[in-house]
Amino acid sequence: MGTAAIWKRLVMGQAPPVGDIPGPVQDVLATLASARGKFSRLTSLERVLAATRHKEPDQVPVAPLVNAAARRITGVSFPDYSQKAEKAAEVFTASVDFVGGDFIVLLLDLSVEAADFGQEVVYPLNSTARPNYDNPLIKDVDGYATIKPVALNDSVRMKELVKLCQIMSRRMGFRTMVGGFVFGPLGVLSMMRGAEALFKDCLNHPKKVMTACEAITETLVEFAQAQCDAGMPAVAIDTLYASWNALPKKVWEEIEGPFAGQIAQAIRDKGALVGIHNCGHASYFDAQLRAMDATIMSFAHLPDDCATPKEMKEKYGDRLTFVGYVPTPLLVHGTPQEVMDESRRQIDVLGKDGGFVLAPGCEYPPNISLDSAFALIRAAEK
Amino acid sequence: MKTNQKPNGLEQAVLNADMNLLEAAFEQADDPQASLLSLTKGLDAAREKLGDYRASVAEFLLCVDVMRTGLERLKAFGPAPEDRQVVVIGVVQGDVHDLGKNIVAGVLEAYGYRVVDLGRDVSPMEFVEAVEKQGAAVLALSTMMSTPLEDMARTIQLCKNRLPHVKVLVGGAPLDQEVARNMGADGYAESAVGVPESLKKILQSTKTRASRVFVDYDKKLRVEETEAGTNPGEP
Repeated sequence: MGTAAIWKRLVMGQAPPVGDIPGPVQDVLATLASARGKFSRLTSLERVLAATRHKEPDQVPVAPLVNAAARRITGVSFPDYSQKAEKAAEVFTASVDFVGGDFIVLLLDLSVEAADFGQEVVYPLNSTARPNYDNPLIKDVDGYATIKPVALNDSVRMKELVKLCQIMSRRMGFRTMVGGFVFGPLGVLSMMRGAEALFKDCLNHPKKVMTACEAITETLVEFAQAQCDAGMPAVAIDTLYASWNALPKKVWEEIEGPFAGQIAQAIRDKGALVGIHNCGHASYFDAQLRAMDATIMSFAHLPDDCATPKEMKEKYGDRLTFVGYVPTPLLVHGTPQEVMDESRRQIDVLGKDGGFVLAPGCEYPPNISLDSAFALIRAAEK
Repeated sequence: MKTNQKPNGLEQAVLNADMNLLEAAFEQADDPQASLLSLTKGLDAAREKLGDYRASVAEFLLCVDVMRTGLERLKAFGPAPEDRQVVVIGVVQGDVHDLGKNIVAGVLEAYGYRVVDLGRDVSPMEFVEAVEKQGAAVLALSTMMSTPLEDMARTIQLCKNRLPHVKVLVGGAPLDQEVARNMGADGYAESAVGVPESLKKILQSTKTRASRVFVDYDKKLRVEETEAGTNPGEP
């Protein structure tokens, strides 16, 4: 990638591979956007650029993460949303048209990669796709050795997701920032083994788990790069198990850390920004940064080494753009006013000097009303 | 000295999730009551570590496994299953995430309850019929998703209307204390760390959160807070 790629994307009316733009140039553009933002309304791309370069935009950007929840706007069924790129694109487009926001992430569900490795997946009518946990692909510890890399060309769901990236990149253009998404190798394994068994295997049989991680990573590298080639200026890696809810920090660093690092490097090689998504409790920001050197962190809870959001901003704010962290229970049960109050509290603490995108801690719950999403958008408006 | 050391070995075995140590400690154990106490102390310490973020969920799962193995060895000496309080537990309809439920079930078993685990994706009627059939004192419901919350509320409603003496405990990612209360549950368990205490507390209370729960025309739950009678089956 390089200057040619940047121009090519710009000529096509698409967001360029941000990572290929030299840092000082990005800083100049972000400073200009920030200055313009004091007098007029910025575009979403300007707003996100300013925030990620730690300049204050006209308002904090919002990523409502209304993914499957936007299905109901157009009436697309859950199975179609999960399996057909055109239908999913309808849904994501509707989320931008109807709800708004500055940043969307093309996460369909967490079973996309596992399905292509051979895991049986069910497609309920009233919920997002998921593995059939009664029929895990990996039935015992010896099953890890049977996992082999899957070429993207031979895949079904991953290929559809890349197609979705292409459609949305063209369709959104400069209008809204669009990001890709891959589930980390341990996440993919948990879909094929079950989280509980996987956790125990990580402690009791780490080498066997790592053998499968290696095979999966080969596929994920190709998958992530294909998303970048399809026009994604940023791709998030979900390393959920780097948190207290799952593995000890040291174990995560040994088992998944190196593989997550390979995927992150592959994304950077394509000139895209690396994001991390981790909605676990007390996640290990430090370990994940050591492994992936990401610039964007989507999170639901404070990291293990920070007691307050202020402390988190002081500790990690200079190198990370935070994306979060409105709690799911509040979105589900809170009034729009309560959602706005919490959002504004977070903006006050984390939005100063940029480096913050207001978002739910995890995907917007698929079956609740969109009131809370509108509240997020409204909260960010000055 | 010998008797003091034996329980310590068991305590350490659970705390360190060490099956070999458990076996070795049992080789020398001769007092089932002291052994049970040591195992429980070990699990208390493991829960404390989990609660203080000094141990992860994965490590705690192994501690629970050792505790379960230990309890199996002491089965013959403990109270008969029919003398133990029964907890019916499961993941509500529409959800299949059962990690949290499994941990809670393991912890409750370890603390002497008879746990009837209905698994995942359980319908409201299945829950209530199981509670009735098993004579359970507590119904514990779990979900990690927001989608099944309506079914969770319906389950509570059905249980409270049909079996008002039964206490309902809920837990899961889309819930908090207030939401649990609004749904008509008697208690909320944020994690496995505090679940034995939460359960003890609601069992000691003679009040149930609600004897009748309604879903209004606007789909909002309305809870009539009343003091329910004690279990008709209890003295």
